[in-house]
Amino acid sequence: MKGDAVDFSAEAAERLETVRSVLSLARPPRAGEINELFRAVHSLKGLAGLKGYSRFAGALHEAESLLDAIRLSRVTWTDRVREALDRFFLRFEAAIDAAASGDDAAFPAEEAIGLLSEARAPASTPPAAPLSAELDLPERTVSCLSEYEESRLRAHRAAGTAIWTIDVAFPLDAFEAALKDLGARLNDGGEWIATLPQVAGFSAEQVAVQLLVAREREPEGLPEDAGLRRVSREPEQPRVAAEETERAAVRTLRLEASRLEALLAEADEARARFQKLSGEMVRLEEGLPPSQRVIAARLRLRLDGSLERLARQAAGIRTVPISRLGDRLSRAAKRILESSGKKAEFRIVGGESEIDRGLADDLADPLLHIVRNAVDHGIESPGERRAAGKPESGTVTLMARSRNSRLLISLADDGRGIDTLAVVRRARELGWIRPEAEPTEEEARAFLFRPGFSTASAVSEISGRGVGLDLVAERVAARHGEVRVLSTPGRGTRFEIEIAIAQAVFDALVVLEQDRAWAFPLAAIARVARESAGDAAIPLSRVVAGTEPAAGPGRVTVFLSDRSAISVARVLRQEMLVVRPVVTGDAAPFLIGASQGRGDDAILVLDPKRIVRAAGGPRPATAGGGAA
Amino acid sequence: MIKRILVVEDSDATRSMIVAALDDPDRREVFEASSGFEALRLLPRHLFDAIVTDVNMPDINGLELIGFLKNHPQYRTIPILVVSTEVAAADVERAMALGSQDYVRKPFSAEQICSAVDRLLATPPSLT
Repeated sequence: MKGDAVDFSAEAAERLETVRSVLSLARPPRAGEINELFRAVHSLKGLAGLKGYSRFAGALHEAESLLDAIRLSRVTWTDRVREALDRFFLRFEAAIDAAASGDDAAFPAEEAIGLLSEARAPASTPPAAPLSAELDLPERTVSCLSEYEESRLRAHRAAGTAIWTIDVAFPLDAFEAALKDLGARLNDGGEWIATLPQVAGFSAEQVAVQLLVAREREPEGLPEDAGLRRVSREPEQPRVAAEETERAAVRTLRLEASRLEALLAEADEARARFQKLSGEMVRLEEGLPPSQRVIAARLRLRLDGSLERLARQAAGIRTVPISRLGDRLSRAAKRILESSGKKAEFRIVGGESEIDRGLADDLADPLLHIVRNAVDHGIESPGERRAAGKPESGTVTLMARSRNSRLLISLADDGRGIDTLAVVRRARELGWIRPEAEPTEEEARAFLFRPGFSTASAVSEISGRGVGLDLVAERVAARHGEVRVLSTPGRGTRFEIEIAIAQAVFDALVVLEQDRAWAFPLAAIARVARESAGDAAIPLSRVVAGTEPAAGPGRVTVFLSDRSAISVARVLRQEMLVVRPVVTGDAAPFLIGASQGRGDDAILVLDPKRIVRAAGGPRPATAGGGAA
Repeated sequence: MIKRILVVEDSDATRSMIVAALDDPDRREVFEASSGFEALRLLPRHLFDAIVTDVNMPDINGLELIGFLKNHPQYRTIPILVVSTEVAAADVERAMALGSQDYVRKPFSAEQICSAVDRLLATPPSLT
């Protein structure tokens, strides 16, 4: 992965240079420059896909589709668009550097995509009259134009710019240089739109092309034998330029929460249903002749794209950045500090992670409890800290991170830590431990979360850690989460809350094992190869079904980024899945969630690293699959 | 008989993947062009049995190349496989209207590209 990351960053550099040069222009970019930008982003996306960076590829796909819409005049280029792209690529470049030491998991893809969708303002609908009505061109020529070239011709016609054809022939070996030279002259005060090779005049030595150019004045300085023709029909009447429809002012409106929820649920439902239908449609399309297949596929893809954007927008409305929660905690921490005479700094790491509004509300009180306890009892007085050789000012850090469909929030302080002996003493008083029993550290800490543990007298004795922690555990359990506490005497305490996020959308590799489909998040996969004897791969069936796969050729090995590997019967496809968490507890710790997928059966989504762990780590592969 | 295949694709990464997928010295000889121009340069030098081309390329794009091929008396019967992304679906439709035989959507697997090329080569050349 490390080598790949280096390759990626080197190969991406040239495209990023193009991106930067277009985005740093003082004026709005010209059509050709937007097209260059589009192509650079398109290549970056392909590159990211090849290297297995699914988060990069997903976000770049959005940037590409925004630029595609702009170059086809469906969306207007505005300062907001430029700013959004600027910020998007700042994040992207920062993440490339970070990816050099691992994968692209640190890239805030959802946030980056959010930036783009906010900036997107639709342009007025373009007219749809056939191009041949506007231009004197044979159908044979018009049919060879791409959607982009056609949209450029239309845009120039709408603005009243004349369109010209130029027929030129050059020797084959000097062609590119000669054409580039001519093109530069045509682009000065005009736009070189298309290059159509001509059958007449083509030989092993020379090639003839017809150029399509938009230019107000007649192109000058053409080669002597070039044929020039004006193909735009009527004399041009410049039309009033379409007003830019940027809505800078953000309007807010009040809306009943339940109605919004119903709308969002419907958006999810529509997407899930379409995913199911889509699988069926792909199968049906296979049976169509290619010409009809592309039309069907195009319609299907457009609808899929709309529904995906709808689901993403819906997800965006439902969530808030964790920094919002952090600000609230930070203010509370300051208030407590003011009255306590202690010094501490409150830090937020990963504040851009988005979490469900409901979850944020549910977590606010428990986290507030933990912060209060940390400041009240964890952080020592400045004098005490000096004596212990620590800086006078302590720190309390809130950290949030989401992985697959799980959210990890930790709250750490660098205070005195939990006095385990005092906790055990208190548990004995409560009669929770038999007199002769010696609980482990872990067992002792679990007492902290039991209802009834905390009393006023216990507060000072054990750093107040008992206060309200049963409430924290209860709230987190209600969300199917886990709460843990880690503590080192004299060094500090860290609370970790891990919760399944209501729903996540990610790229997954769908595989077959034991005649049913399973999925791994693509971000966790380094590569896939036909199984060979030295792979040391763990058969998936061993973990999920407790059986060894039938011996036979053609199994496939899925390699993870840490070189461990899992073998499966077949790889079915790559698919973007909407994954909902399932509650399993310890029975199947490797289960991330379930997704509807394309077929009828739910696909279980697995955490490959936990699969390897569940199998007891990597083992040497046995030829033909021996006994477990 | 060894089949000659021309792969036209401006992305080095994608082109090398297609070439690696098709590489089979006993059955195929694969030629590479990184632009429409390079394709035009190679066309008079070899007799190709199939052409695999991208749509979205700078200068001479895939559609313009296909339009040329389908108008040329000598090249019009060479079967064409279009490779393209979802974004270019409308252009793929145009490529099919121009007479391409089939298309494969990016991203694709090595098996997909091979079986599409095999299908292409199995189709009898049109007599028109």
